Amino acid sequence: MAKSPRNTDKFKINNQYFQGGVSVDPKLAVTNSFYQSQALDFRSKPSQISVLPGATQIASNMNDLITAMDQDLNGVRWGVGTLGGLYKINTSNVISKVAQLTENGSAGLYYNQLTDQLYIPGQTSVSMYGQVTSANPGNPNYKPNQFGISASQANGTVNLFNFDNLFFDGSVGVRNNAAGINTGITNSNAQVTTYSTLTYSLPTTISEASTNLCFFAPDIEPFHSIDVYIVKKGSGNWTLTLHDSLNNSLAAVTVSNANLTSNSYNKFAFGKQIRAIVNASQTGTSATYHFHLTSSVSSDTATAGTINASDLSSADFLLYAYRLIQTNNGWHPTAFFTGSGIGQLCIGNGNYLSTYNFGNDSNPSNSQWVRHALYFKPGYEVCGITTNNQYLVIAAERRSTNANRSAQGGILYFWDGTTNSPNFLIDLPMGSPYGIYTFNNVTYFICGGSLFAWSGGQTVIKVRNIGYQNTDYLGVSDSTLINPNMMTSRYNLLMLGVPSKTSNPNLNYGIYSWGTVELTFPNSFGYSYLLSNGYQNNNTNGITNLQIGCIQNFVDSMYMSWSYTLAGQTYYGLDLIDNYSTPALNFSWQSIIYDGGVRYKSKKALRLKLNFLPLPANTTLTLQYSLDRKAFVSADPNSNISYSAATGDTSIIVEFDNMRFFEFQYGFFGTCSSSATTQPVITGITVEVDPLEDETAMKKDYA
Amino acid sequence: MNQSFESEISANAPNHSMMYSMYTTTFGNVNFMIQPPSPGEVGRGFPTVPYLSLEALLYNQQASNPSSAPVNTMAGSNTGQQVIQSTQSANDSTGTPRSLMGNQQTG
Repeated sequence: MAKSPRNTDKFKINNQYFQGGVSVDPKLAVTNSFYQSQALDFRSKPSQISVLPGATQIASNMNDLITAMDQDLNGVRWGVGTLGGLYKINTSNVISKVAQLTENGSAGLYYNQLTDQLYIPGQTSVSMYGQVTSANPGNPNYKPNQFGISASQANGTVNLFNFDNLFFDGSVGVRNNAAGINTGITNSNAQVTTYSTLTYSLPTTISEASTNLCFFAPDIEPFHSIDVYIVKKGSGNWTLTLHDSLNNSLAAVTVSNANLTSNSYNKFAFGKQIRAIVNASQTGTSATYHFHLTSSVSSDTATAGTINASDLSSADFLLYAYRLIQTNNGWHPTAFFTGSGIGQLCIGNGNYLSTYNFGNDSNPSNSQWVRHALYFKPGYEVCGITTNNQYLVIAAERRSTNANRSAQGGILYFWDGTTNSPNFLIDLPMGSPYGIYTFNNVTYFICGGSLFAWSGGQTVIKVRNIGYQNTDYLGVSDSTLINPNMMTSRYNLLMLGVPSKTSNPNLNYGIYSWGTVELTFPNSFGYSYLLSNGYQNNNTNGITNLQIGCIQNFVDSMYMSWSYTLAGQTYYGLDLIDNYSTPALNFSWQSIIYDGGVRYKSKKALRLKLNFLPLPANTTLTLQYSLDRKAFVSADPNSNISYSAATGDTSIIVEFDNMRFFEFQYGFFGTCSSSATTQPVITGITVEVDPLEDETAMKKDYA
Repeated sequence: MNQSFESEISANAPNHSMMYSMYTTTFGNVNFMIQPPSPGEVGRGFPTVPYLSLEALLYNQQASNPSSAPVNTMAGSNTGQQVIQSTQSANDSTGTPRSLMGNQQTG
């Protein structure tokens, strides 16, 4: 007699606690994890899932991507964009453009409440805007390039070199007495250039003889220009040629005779930054540079003022340098730091940290604005600044100019503000430390697509990956970038704006979250907020160059700036998530894959049930499942009726007909229209499984 | 092996006493257990891995590998002496200091 089928035990896989958050692996994770979520709050009450507020675009009149934000005393918020636009966001969230920098912005912005001024680093200089609260209402003063170029006041450029003691000590002559031209250079040395009595006659060709060059040891860079005191301009055009110590030409500037003035300083501007090695010791071991002066006319009467007759090395000149280095990454992140006991504005400046003590907003000297407070590894550029305990933490990266050949390398520098070099550093050969931000005194950053943390100790800790572990088989070069201000904290959770731009379609644009609401629950991860336009990747609806500029939270209001290009036109926007936001337009959730720990064996799903609080009006909720990693199914295959709930429903149940599986994954998705005022709340999702205990044979799948 | 994840919340709660985190930078995650082969029975839930608290890890790392080097005291006789004003002296009978007082901040 044939055996009849046994009615074997059935059981249920029940998900109704969700504190584990989104897992890295599709099967293996901490308890109560799930594999995917979008726009869902699983932390506030971990026994349920509710839909988070969605972002709303609050401005359509922008033509710039905001990359840094700050708030003044009156609650007005300010943002500066990559193209140099300064935006005011008033207390009603109405946005207006109040100023335009003369150069691109650099993801830096700082509001000093004492001076009531905004300090806005551009590419080569710092502009100011203020007073923003105490001036005549609506009439703050914009001061473009307030901290522009300044002249070197160092011995190596002001004094002649003393070959006896190998110092630029001034005993053999001081080049200039430039008190009258507002450079801050003053001296009372008697051996000052006499301008007109001793001179150097210009040749027509460059000679490397010692009296035909003027060498100097700079203390500041990058060079902007050299001003030379011309006694007689003669009849030819003047050319200033800048050499390094190996006589390599760094720059050559020609000024036509018509534009020269006798008995005056004349500027030879290089037209671009000239990078140089600076050495504060200003001795014979300092790196030196020199320039030549030539005239286009032979036997010209042109002469430059010198201390020693017919000796260009004693020429009267001024060396000007930009305040900021034009970096490859385009950034000058800012932070306020009091490590030295004096409040200082710290600005990442390429391979330097620059500091400003607010000593003279009208024209700070080189000792008030210190260009090279810290010297970092050449080739590295600051990509973020934060503070941790007594340290200023400076993130530096290697940056390639080739988008298809990203550089790999980063360093975290730690500085207590009192030393002339970083206190210590942590090398990050794995990549650029992006978006650095300190939350709960743990310094977080994103490197190689993963979230890292440091809070003391020798090593940084990899927390988890965000969108991908690697880019194997991607088929395109990964060019993921994350701007300096892409992390913020909101309701005691860490928010991560990722990415700023990427070529990786596996990395969805938006705000991710990390943290926990209670000590006993684990830190968890989720994909929490999307852009208001719904774009998660490039090439969606034909868009390209999708970017997130920065994210910034102010108590209950979180901003997220973005831009994208469509049909040749670039669009800019600023999103807001606040207490007036309605539920997110789209949300979704997927369980981790269930295989019962026996992938080889067939199981059978009998029913799938989703429970939720009465579904609010103007929202939808649909159940879905995936069989053996195939596409998710959300409607009856035969009737094509969607597994969706109606308003007021509290459950959806799907009964399967002989749904054998090896791997089974389930979840839900839904929408909230803009008129929805209450968010859907999911309380559980359960699948009933028949383990098919009698079917134990190892055989080919579905054979 | 039945793995009822609903009953395993306590096993995955962060360690309340961070001192007892089973993680060292030398030996890694001591808590980690090699996942045993499945016994071949259909599990009634999802497999789980123990939760490793980031805070516990940070605390442990701070304690075991401080970023600031420990105070460096030099052995042997040192210039200068400090004598504790009591019946006890910090120097031995030959006058050699046997203890150093104070703090050297090494950054």
